[in-house]
Amino acid sequence: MKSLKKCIVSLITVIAACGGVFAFAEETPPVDLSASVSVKLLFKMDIDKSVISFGRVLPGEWKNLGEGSYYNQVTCQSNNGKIWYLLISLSSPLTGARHNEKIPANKLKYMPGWTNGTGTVHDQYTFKEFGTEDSYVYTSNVEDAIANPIYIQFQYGVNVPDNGTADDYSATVVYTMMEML
Amino acid sequence: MKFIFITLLLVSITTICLAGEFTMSTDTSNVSFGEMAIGDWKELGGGTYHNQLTCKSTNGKTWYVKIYVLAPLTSGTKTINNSYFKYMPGWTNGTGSVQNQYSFIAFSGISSLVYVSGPDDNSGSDVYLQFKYGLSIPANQVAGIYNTTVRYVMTETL
Repeated sequence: MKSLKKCIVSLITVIAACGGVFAFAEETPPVDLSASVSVKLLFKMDIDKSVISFGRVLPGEWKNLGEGSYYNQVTCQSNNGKIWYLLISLSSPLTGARHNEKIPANKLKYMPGWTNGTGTVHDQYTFKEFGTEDSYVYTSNVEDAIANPIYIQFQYGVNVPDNGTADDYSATVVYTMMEML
Repeated sequence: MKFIFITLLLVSITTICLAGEFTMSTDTSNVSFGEMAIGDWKELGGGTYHNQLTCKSTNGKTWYVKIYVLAPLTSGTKTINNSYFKYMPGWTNGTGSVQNQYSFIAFSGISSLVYVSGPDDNSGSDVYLQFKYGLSIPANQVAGIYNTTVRYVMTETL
């Protein structure tokens, strides 16, 4: 009995002496702060030349702007991470200022050329007739939607009808950059 | 038997004495940068600080404050690399040492040491640590709302 008591006393003494062992290293509950940022949407288009001027063209003549290289370059930028599209159209047929005669839209043509984008240029390096409805020129890849500028180059051509009336004809070429909903 | 009881009582007292105060709190619980454009750099805290931690220990031991983020700033599947998100430990009334004081340090997913307490910080006084934050938006960052959690821990182990 005496030996048991001695044993218990020794054990408790050891435990007491090792009080520090029970004082295990403390750690507070974590303090959390919620962090947030809203990264602004970038979705824009620019063009380096906003006038497509063929100058004097004779009836029956074909004239090409940008031959061998390009006439103007559209720059598209999106950081929306989604596929976007570039479309082109003519607001109206080429219309004479004095006589109000019209040259049909299909006599004015565009040719989508080089791009640095990774998407698809529709009818690349082919002259396409303008229409008053939008035509797809470029379908981007998702890699084109991380804010890098994507360049798309164009040539233009006009074929004045043999019976075209002398006049100053004009129309507006419309480029549209859009995403599908 | 009487001796055993006294010894047990001593052990209990020892244990009670060990249960000191060891706390940390913050005066602001968010780090909101609002709207930023690609290429922008924004600091939160201006000329002073954005948030202040209050640490208290009565344990008489050296303690440490560490910081990390639970994940990079994330929006869906897109993230902003931690190297663009930074914190700056600033002023303290403590007597310990602030690591990289007044310097912007990139966050990491692994805890980084911010403060090592001094001898006078361990006796129950409030020790304040102030912080600023900075974020830049990388060139190719996709638009969206990015979130994460900044976590502070106060511990007695390194």
